[in-house]
Parts: sequence; structure tokens; C-alpha cells
Amino acid sequence: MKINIVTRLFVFLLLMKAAAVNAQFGIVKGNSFIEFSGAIVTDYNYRFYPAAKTDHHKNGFTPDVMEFQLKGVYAKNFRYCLDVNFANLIPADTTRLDYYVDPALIREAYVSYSGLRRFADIKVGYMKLPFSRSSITEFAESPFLQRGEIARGDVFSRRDIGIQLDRELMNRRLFIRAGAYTGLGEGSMGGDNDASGKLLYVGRIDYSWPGRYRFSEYDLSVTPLPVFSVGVNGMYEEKESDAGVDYGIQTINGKKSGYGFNADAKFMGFTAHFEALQFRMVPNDTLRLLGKPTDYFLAGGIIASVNYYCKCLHSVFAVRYDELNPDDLTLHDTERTISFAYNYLISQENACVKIQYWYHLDNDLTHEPWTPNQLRVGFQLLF
Amino acid sequence: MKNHLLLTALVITCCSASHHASKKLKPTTSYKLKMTEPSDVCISGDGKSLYIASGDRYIYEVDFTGKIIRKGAYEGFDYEAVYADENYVYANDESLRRIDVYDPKTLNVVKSYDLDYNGPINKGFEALTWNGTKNCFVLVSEKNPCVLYEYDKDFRKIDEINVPQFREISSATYYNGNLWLQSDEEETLYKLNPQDYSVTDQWRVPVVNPEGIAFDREGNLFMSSDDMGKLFYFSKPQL
Repeated sequence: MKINIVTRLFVFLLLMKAAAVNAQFGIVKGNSFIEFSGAIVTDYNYRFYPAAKTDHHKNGFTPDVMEFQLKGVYAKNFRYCLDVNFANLIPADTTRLDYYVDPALIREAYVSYSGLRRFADIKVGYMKLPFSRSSITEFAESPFLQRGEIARGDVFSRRDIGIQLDRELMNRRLFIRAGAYTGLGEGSMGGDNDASGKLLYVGRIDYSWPGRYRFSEYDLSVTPLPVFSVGVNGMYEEKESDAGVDYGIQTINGKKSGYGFNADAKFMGFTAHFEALQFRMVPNDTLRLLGKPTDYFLAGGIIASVNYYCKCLHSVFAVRYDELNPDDLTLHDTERTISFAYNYLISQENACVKIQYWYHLDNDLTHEPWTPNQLRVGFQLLF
Repeated sequence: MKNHLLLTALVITCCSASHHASKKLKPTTSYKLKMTEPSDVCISGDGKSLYIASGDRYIYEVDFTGKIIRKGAYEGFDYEAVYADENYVYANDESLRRIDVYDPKTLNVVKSYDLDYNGPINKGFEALTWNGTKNCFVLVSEKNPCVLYEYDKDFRKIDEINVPQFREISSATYYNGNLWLQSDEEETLYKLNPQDYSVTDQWRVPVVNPEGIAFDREGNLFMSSDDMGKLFYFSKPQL
């Protein structure tokens, strides 16, 4: 078995060496421009299934990201972005017949107006929600091939359609965002709200010191002075429908509020990230309370990671601890995982090999959706 | 599990120890700048003040302590590089691929030159100066890849030189017969032979995101930091 894994990885690495690196392209016309870019990430995934398991269908190559992005500025003040991930052209759950394509095909499609700079930038469309730093950070800005479980989009929606106000102050060290959205996550792409007709409200504030802290988990600049960032965020919605593939809490029939904070630091190639999120849900369906004497249940978790960029080795080493409890009314329903990641930067940060190994600290993996330990090797090219 | 953590700690420790040590510059003091995203800095044509190209769409004239004397009358879009001679102030609008030429008396645009560059919008020309040895303007694309372009005084392209030795470049200036390039991501100041652009020396700069460099006539060095919104002053550094 070990030889088998090594052989597969070796073949994969040979294939990766053949890849070429392109650059982004931009076209300018007067006070307007448009830019083309994208990313391709292909993974080889190997799960260490228990001996009794005979279905190993998750082992193999997967098209993780096949992204094409158009971004631009029209007449100085209008910015736009259309971002498509073709890897989601085919729905992951092929038994669902209500969608011809996975709604996650569109990653972002918005227009923003920056002509009211003393007030705020106004952003309208389908966009990432300003909730959870781990969720906001682009995948290419993380050494890991997969986000911490709580920030993957099953506990809260990572994207939605709505209107958002962005305001940067103090030379972009203070960043305030707030918005109202349909509240159905990717399901909002269908065009209708649920029966409640109510919206999701999200807000976030980031503050960094002594300089601006970009949304990246790398310190490729080997920052000579320590830079810190803290963020707080909150959300609230009242809905009449349930959504969510693994935990059924992405949206709930009832009230859902969420809050969290993060603290980040970078210095001399090191970055550290800590984030805690918690959600309080008051379901209309009392069966979700499992007969307990309460009218609400909690979900929450943390992510803590430390990364180091070693310039002379063109390498990033990372370790992450993440924890999720999707329902505090269910005993022993917490999953704790430690992940190790290694990145080899082939062409600066545009082309890199990413390796991630997940190790579950809880052995009780008999019930879904928890997965066995796994190893993933990916090649990422940004163009 | 313990073995996993020990191995990780060992790798990180070894890599930390192997970090390349190089000469360092230490700023004498720093001044807070009252503008957003101060990108590049240059010495004025008469040597009595500095110009700063700002990401807030304007150029500013400031004194040597960073105090704003004047603000440009024209709203650009994304100024990332600036250079001044006795007659004009040249500001490079990175996204719009345009050089706006200002009259230093009125600080208004008197003419503009469009540049041809199809690379990434936010990785266009970040560095602009006059190469006094070869008598040409020098512009350098920021990254992916770093390319040095020579232009004549009317911004007609003369030559295009790949400089793969640089990962990223954010500023350029010509002083004392040398060309100086600054990388904000590498936090490094490079001294170059202005004839063949070979690196003759380099220094690490302990400043976060130092996007601009300028020398005054006495040899004092100024650096603008975009992320920190500050002007750093180095009193006659030994370079």
C-alpha cells in the first residue's frame, strides 16, 4: 500500500513539473480597464480508510479549482468582478436534480461604486460575506488546501447576494464592512427569498497595527517588524427554511445569530492566526432541540495556525488546529483536527505545490460527516 | 502525534537559523503622513522639498518632515511612482498606464503620455526615474515579471531589459552616479550600475512595505511606507 501511494505521488509530481506559468493580462482604455486572471488547482487525495471500509471512492485526482476571473474599473469609480469556478460546473451531489449546475459555479459577481469615498464604497451583487477571516482569505493566500472545518461554508454561508458598504480608514488599518443579503447563501442565486422574505445582516471590523495587514496567511515579505491584526464580526437572520449539506445549519428555520473574533500576527516569515466563531440558533422546529429543556442550541469552533515561510528553501511550513461542534445538544459531537501543510513555491507565489495532511484527534469517526485522516497533494497555478 | 509536532518544530528551527543575513539600514526617525497609501517619493527639482505619489489619487508636495505643503490639482487614479526635474513632475498612474506630467508651479497636469503594457493591472510600473548616465527614463514593472524599460524624454520606448534577479520592485531613483531600486516585498534596497543594471550592493531595510525612495542633495535617504503611512528618514547612511 505504501509503495502504491508513493508511486502515485511521484507520477503526480512529475506531471506538475511540466506545467508552465503565465501572467495576468490587462487592457486599458482611457479611464477604464479590464483584467483577466485565474487559477487552476488539481489535487490528489488519499484517505486512510479503516480496514473495514470497502468504498474508497474519495481516493483519486480532483479538480479543486478551475477559476477564471474578470475584474475591472469603469470610468474610475465603478469596479466590477466576475469570478467563475468551472470545477463546480458539475454538482458535487449528482443526485440533486433541482440544479443543472452547482450554484457554487459563480464565486463572485458584483459591482462597486467608489465615488463616495468620504462615506463608503457601495458594493452590490453576489459576493463573499464579511464574516470570518478564514473564510474571507483567498484560497491562494493560505498554505492549506482546505479551510478549517468551521469556515468551509456548511456552518454559515460564505457567499450571498446583497448590498454592502465598505469603509477604510487610518491608511487602511481600520476596515469596516456591513451589509444586508438575501440570506440563502449559494441558494440565493435562484433569485427568490424563502417564505420569510427577511434578510441576513452581517458586519465586520478589522484593525491592524502598526501597519496595514493584508488578508493573507503567508508572510512572503519576511516582515521586519511585528504586525498585528484583530477582527470582530457578527451576523443575524430569521428564516423559514433549513439548508446545509453536512450539518443542516447553514440556514435554519428560526433565528440564527453568529459572532466571532480573530487575532493575527506576522513577523520575519512567521504568521499566526487564531479565530473563534459561535452561532446561536433558535429553531421553530422543536425536534431539533432533541427533547432538551431549552429553546436554542449552539454551534461553534476555533481555528489556530502557525506558518513559516523559509525564503532560502522557497518553502512554507504550516500547522493548524481546528475544532468544530455543530450542535452542543449532541454529546461527543466535537471534531478536532490537526493539519500539517508544506508548500513549495516554484515560481514566486504564482505556481506552487501544496501538501496537506489531516490527523483527527478524536478516534470516534464512525458517524458521518467526519472523514478519516487524509493526505492531499495539489498543484496550484495562478495566471 | 508528538513525533509530528517535534518534526515540524525541528524544520522550522533549522529554517530560521539558515535565514540569509545581509547589511541593514536603520532609520533615524519617521514622520506620519496625512494621506492614504503613500506609494513613492522623490526629491523636487530645486531640492527643497519632496513629492509623494499617493494611492488616494493625488500627488503631494511635502517638506522633509512629511508635512503637506501642496496637493496636486488633478485627480489621477492609482499613482505609484513619481519623479521630478527642474521643469516638471512626472507621476505614473500604474493602473491606467499613463504618465501625467505636472507643472511644479501650479501642480496641475500639463500633458500626459500613454504607456503600452498589458501585464497585470496592479502589477504595472511601480518605479520611475531618470537615468542620468544613459540619459533616459527608467520604468520598472512591479513583478511577474520584473522588467526594466528605458524611455526617451518623450516616453518613446528605447529598450526592454529583463531583470529576473528581482522578485519585486516598487521604486527607483538615481543618485550619485548609481541607480537605486527598492523592493517593498523584499524590504531591500539595491544599488545598481546604471549602465548594465547589475547589482553592486544591497541592504535590508527594517521598514514594513517601503514603497518609495529618494535622496536629498546632502545624501540623506527618505523612504515612504504605504502600509504604515509614514515617511522614514535615514541620516546620511553609509552606502
